[in-house]
Amino acid sequence: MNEKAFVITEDDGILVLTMQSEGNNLMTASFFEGYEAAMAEVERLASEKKWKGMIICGGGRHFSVGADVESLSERSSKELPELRSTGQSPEGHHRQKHFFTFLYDLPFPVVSVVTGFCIGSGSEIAVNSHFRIAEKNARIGQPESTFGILPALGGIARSITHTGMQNAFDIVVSGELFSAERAGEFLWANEVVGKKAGFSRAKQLINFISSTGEEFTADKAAGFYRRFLETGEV
Amino acid sequence: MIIQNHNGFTEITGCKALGELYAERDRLGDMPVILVHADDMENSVSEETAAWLMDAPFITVIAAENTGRFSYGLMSLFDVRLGGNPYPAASADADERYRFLCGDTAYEMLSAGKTENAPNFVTVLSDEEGFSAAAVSYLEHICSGRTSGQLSILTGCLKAAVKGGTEAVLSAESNGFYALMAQKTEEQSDE
Repeated sequence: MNEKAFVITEDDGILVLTMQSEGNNLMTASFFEGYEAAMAEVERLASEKKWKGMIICGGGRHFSVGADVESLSERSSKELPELRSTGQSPEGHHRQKHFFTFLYDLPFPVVSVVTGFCIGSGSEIAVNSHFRIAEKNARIGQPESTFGILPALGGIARSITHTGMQNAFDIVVSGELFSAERAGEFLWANEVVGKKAGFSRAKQLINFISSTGEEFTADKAAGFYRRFLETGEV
Repeated sequence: MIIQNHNGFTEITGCKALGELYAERDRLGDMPVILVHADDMENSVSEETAAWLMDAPFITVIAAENTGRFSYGLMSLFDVRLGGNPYPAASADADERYRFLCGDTAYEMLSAGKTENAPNFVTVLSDEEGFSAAAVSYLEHICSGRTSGQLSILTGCLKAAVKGGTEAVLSAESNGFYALMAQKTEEQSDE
């Protein structure tokens, strides 16, 4: 695993996780190993209760091109005996899923800055965040259904939360990729901004929420975002 | 009322009232998605039919070229609403059902009362080929290439949200993923 594949830094009280794993953050076994270690560190840092929020972004042009289907298939095949013997989905899956879904339960706002491809399990990192700021070049989607499987790391549950049953049905069942503009239309993305503008906008949003002095919880996220827009801060 | 099966969904035409659909429910089969063309349908529904629709194990889709003709109460019984035009915000309610159907941000936008149309409430279809044909094409496109078994698992995950909320969907996703992966592995070993 490349030691610099996941870098956690601090920017004015905001945690920044930059993903710069090989293959445009192609989610191989090595990626997941690094990702889980980085998220375990985020979980530890979150307990310090001193952070205004967190930004997740890709270090290169792309947020993440998603899982390597071949290695996913290989890994899952190895897990099937455990599934058959226990009747439960495997322990390894639950551990991996935790490091996606826990983002939504963090006590501060998590914003994914979506650039380039944000696909499959990459998109599941974004939807497990409270907010998504998409740059205009982004291409987004949950194409798992086109491979005969489905998104299992929170992709379906969070798509319903953010875009409603109406659009989650389309996103998850069709598996089609969509543009940043389309993501903005059906509110998958909170906002669509120009190239290179996502990070500063994410900081503005987090700073606004922090400035209210109010406790942040996931169920208040959309309300905070509405109030942020009402400030007219651009 | 005419019931026609397509790949992955059942299409209902000529339905004059939702009560008729309820009365004929045993003829609907076990498709994971039901599309109801509603342009000739009356704008009323009994409590019994509403409860059945809300509890349906399949994804329910209503297609109405003029969505504004129907009450929010009737439209919101369906998981998916296809229309020739958006639904007026003034006719919709910012309730928990709206939040579930349209998402958190759409709910906030409707609550704020600053939008002309109800965000995410209706997927507006282009009517170049005629509205009813466009509704069928929309579902054909979404279901294309999916087996009935895969569609049932996918829609089952979505429907888990109705009764069990987010936690139920998270659990259904995991179980569904391994069920589909087991199917794929068996298919590959058969080849």
